[in-house]
Amino acid sequence: MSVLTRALDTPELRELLDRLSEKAAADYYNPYRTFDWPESLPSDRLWMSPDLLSVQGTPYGESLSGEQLCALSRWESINFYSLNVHGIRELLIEVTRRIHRPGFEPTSEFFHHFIGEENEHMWFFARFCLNYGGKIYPDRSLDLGQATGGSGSDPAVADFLVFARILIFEQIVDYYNMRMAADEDLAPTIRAVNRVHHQDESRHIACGSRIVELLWRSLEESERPAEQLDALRAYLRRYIATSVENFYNPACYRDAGIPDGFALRSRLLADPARQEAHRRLLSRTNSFLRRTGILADC
Amino acid sequence: MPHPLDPIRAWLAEKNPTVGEIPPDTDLIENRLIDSLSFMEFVMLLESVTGRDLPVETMELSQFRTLAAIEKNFLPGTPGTPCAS
Repeated sequence: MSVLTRALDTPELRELLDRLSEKAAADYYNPYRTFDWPESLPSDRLWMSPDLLSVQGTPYGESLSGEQLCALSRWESINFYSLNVHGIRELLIEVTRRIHRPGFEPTSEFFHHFIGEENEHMWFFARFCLNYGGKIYPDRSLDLGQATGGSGSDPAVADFLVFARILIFEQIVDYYNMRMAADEDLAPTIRAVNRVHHQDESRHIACGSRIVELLWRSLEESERPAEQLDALRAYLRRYIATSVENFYNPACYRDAGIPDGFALRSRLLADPARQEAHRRLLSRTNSFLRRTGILADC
Repeated sequence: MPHPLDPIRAWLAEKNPTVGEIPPDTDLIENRLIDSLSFMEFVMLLESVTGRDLPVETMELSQFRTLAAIEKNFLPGTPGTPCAS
């Protein structure tokens, strides 16, 4: 029996995934007919809940007019959905690589639902960007050919990192989705996109949390040197920080008519009010990482 | 007189505080002065220095590999080459 099979082939995970697969099939919807796509969205209203804006709580944010905040909310919402498009593409590639790989048999069935749903999410996020922003902000990542987090050629570490990254990405996005789905001041299309995504993601997060925990236990029980796990932890900390920093996109400031976006980004990231906002945003992720012992001190 | 590479040098120094002066032909990727996570911020900085969007997905890694390559590919026509001194 392979290490991966020993890690994932548990009655509890099988039962969870059976339940989630059944729910995915029962809740299946046609995304291509689910949403109303009006010709345009009101430009005199926020497109994103105010507390999600990158300037919220800062002196700079307070200096902006209502009109400037509306413009910023438009471009930061396009950035949010663009990040989703790129993040989903990457996770689809990684999960598709693993769907029928030996060791992943317990998860294969659910991965089919996952891949199908994620493809649909990518479609409606891309459609939102193109309909209302006229573009998808480009992906700034490039394969540098470097091993990440001490993974080297170690497939168990690579598997853990893939599912940990997916989970962290989904939890962060879900924070935004839940807030915007519930915000009655936002346009119905914005609320619907976020509501539908949140509904599917709750299943993906339930599955991902369990897989990440099991893969981590397996790494802990292996005889890998402590330095390797420390490198992996250091990578995860930086991955989380970078994921949050991606919401501070200088191109959004430029498109909203705000000059010197890179310098503004640096100032905002250092603002205590933003640090507090990040703590709220990462509360669920940090709680999971502490509980599982992956990052005991986060 | 400030050189367009100055902000890039300052950013590299901030991210790699234990590294001294970086020669123009040092491989920034191989030496991990830029890694996959810091690369995205690096591109944002480069966009801010050049004043244009960089379609990274269509670009070659070699264009970003050294300070000399960055200057040649993104900052052509800049006066002087303090990175080469």
